[in-house]
Amino acid sequence: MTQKLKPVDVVVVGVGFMGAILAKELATEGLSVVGLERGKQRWTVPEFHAPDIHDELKYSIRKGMMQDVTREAMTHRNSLTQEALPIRQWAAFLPGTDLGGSGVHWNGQTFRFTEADFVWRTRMHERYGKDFVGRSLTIQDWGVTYDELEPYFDKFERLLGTGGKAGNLNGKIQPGGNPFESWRSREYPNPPMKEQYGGVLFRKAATEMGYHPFVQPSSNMTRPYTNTEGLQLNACNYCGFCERYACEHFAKATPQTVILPVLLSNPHFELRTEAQVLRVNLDKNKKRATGVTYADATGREFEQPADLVIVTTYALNNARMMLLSGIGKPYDPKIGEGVIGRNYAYQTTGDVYVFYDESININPFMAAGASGTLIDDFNDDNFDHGPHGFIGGSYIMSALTNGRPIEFHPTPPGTPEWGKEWKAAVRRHYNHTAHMLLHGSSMPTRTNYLDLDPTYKDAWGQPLLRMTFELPDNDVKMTQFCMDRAVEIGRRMGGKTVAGYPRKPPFTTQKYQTTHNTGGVIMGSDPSTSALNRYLQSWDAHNVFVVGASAYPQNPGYNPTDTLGALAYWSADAIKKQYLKKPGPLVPA
Amino acid sequence: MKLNRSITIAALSVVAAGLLLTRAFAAGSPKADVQRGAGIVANGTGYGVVACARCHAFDGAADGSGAFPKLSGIPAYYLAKQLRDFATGERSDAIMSAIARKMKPEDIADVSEYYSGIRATPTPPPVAEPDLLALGTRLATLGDQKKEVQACESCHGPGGRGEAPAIPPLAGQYAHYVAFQMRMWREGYRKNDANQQMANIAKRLSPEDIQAVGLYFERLSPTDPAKKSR
Amino acid sequence: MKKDKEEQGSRRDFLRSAFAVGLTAATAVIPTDRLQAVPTKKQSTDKAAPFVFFRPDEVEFVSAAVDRFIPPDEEWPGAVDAGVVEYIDQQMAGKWGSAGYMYWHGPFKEGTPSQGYQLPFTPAELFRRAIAAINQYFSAQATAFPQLTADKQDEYLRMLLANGTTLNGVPSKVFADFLLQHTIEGFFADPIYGGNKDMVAWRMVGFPGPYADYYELIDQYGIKLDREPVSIGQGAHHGAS
Repeated sequence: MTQKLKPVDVVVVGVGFMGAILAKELATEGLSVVGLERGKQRWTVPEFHAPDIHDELKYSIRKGMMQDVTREAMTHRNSLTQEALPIRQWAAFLPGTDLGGSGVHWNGQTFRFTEADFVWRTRMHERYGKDFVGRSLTIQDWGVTYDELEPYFDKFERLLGTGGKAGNLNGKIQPGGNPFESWRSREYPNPPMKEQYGGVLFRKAATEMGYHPFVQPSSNMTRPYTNTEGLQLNACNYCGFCERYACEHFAKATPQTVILPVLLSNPHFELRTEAQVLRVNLDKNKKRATGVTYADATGREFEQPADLVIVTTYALNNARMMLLSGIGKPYDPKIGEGVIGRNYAYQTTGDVYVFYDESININPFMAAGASGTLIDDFNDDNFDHGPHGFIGGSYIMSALTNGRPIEFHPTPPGTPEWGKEWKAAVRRHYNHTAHMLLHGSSMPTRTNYLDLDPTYKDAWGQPLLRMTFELPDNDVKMTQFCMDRAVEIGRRMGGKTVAGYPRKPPFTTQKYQTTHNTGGVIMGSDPSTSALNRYLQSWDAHNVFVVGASAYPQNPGYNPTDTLGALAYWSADAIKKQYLKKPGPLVPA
Repeated sequence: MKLNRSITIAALSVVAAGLLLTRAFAAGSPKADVQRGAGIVANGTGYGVVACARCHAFDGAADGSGAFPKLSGIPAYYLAKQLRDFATGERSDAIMSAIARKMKPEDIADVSEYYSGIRATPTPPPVAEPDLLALGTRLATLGDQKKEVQACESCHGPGGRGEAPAIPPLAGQYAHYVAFQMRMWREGYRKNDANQQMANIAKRLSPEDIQAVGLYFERLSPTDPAKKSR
Repeated sequence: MKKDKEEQGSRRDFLRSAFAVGLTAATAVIPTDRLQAVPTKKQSTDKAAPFVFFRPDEVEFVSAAVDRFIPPDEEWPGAVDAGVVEYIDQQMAGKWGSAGYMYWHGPFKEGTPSQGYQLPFTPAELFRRAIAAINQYFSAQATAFPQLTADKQDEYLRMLLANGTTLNGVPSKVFADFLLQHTIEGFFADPIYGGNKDMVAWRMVGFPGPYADYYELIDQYGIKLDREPVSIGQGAHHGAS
């Protein structure tokens, strides 16, 4: 019954940020490219228009922009011995769907990973010793270095129009920026964002304590900007409806504002929406992909033959696509062997609330998605971990992304959860509370991994992804240490009450933490411990490239998108300059 | 690492400025003297501030020509900022620049407070071709994807009621005046908007778009913001 | 932000221990001294509201309960006057009530709190079953829930939240958490959903609503924004897309 379509050069599975970048780079080479997007088309006008887009119930509570959980859910368990059950409503993380993917509802926080991050295992072993790290953490190097990626970071940030202040220009530390960042070849394309009131109070306290506050790099435009694709963006107006929402102002760097109009006008590119890719097809030797099979909105199946298959379906879905397609050996946590599903990691977050006197109007609703003033002093390998007994860290950032009251109505510890006293406390504190976010690293372990669920199926009858994840001891120690530092800053900020909520086991799927799920199809230099080589090319099927945070061997304490964009351009360059000339493995196995 | 001292000082002064602003704002509006403002609007001052009413009328409806804007019901914050901008040259105008330079801070505060509190006198809605009005309605309420322009009302509020205090209402404002200002932005003569937002938008609109948007807003009643269409 | 509650873990965890004490716990918390409760609160549900999902006896219980979760005070209305009952009614009658936003394939099994909602009841079924059990219980008592004193009502709600009983197969904590969650949603959501009438909840905390442009104000630190909130329903194109 499957209808076989005319072959194309390239099929891109998922048309979000990374799919759009790969498709655009390859279509520009003159290759015929088909983009298969499971969702629908959507644009700033008319789909994102305000005020309808500023609907907290629809988008934040009912998850209006997210992967349709009624059709495609995931299952979760905290340990190998537990039975995984479906996550029936998204909460902890929010994978996007429809044209532009999660790139539409992201916040625009734009951090580069550091030089240390890409050689994490080597760096940790050299600085602290193998015993310090211990056997339970399966950290690895990436197979690519920061220096190699720097030009691609630069390229992605100019596509996005990122605003910030360099802290390290070609090795020279710059005042006002983040002194811990790795070198960058030039300034950001745009200036930093305005700081919020809470940010200013944080900056003062952090400065007094000898830390190094700076303004968060942001891809919410800080001034009108024409990007490297010739597209024009407007300046952000700090509306407080960014994450979980789309921008009505052409002011957030999203696929719609920075690349899709150019991609769609390329005659070599064809977009097909409502195309649910079921699997990547392999030849009989299972060494080469022949294309993909997808179902349209009515369920009819099509086979789209292609010489090159690019998988860009979001980290968790990338892992599932590889498992459903039988590319690469599934990871087995009992023996620690296999590559697909390996090194699943997350992000270890925490919150601090600083409750002020009523004379301090914080105005939480005056916010951009990437508003924030932060310190990097306790993140990454920016401090000596020797005395502390853990690796990794967190940035500590004063930020409020919104004052949307269903989600945001902080009350001090000891307040009842309902009733007269609760109501009075909500009213009293709504406009007088600052917030700090701890955004920390997540280290991989042998037993945190992804595979296919044995029981639960999606709307097309295929197994759901099963996630086995618990917070590693290392990360619990790390986040408690950073929380103690954050609470100290909070006290210095002059609030009446400071309340810190560090993440503790058990990991719950029921509370929002972040959508920075990583790993499962990781990159590296050894085919026995990685699914992809340094160019994001599958070790097992050389004409399959998998672009996503699924490639991260572990997740540092920075937001993942900038590094992902750099990897996408790096991979596209390798395809254009090396693979097209001589299709085959770019790194000998 | 030792912290750069200038950062510290900058941070502290920002905090100080913030506290000052809080006080200034809190103290600002209640202190303004509406009666005195009305006096200046009607009679001007002895030191050369021309009576505002001569062009803008005592009720703020201006003279109906569209050469002068209606001022009734516009937030004092916005009016005062425009007057300060005229005085400093941030915004320039053959008539207003000279007048504003002669105004004392309290004159600006009082006059702005006066006009902000006036309920608009209705003026007859302009005649508009249906196609032009439809274009104006679309741009104002939905925007234009190809031109990468957002809906005017996403900032200027439903039915052009504005977003107090910083974003002015447009409902009932003379189409001619709105269109003229849009052209000023487009040509780079007016620059005192927040972060070039208006200039950036005006540059992407055609003369017809600009005319259409002006018509759409003039036809809205300032006291009766657009009702939901559901 | 309800940290304490979330941190505590909930539902099943709770359940396991609660189940151990089972019926004794439930009976112990049930009010024994029945004072002559005077219905002090006027309920705005007296005016015939066109409820779609709720039956009259359900409305009575829900109204009384949500008004304890968010009671009226001298200055600000409580949940009932804010339209929370109408909000919940519309939600239960619509896609949400029929589990239209949930992965709804079996097998349905008991899980841990970390795994979230796993009961085989849609939100609408959950409400209907649980409220029926509550009303049945009170029909055998001298005083119905809405007529109890505020203190007695609070005591009963606390018992439900502490998972003191099972309501037609629904652990009472699951139902009570659900009811509280919907009360807060309805109170603060845009008025287009039936609650937050006249944007009272937004006025109460000072949230200006969905029309939001603060470029010029965000760095005027400490500025007090005094403006009428504006709702989505006031937009020109609401319902058009």
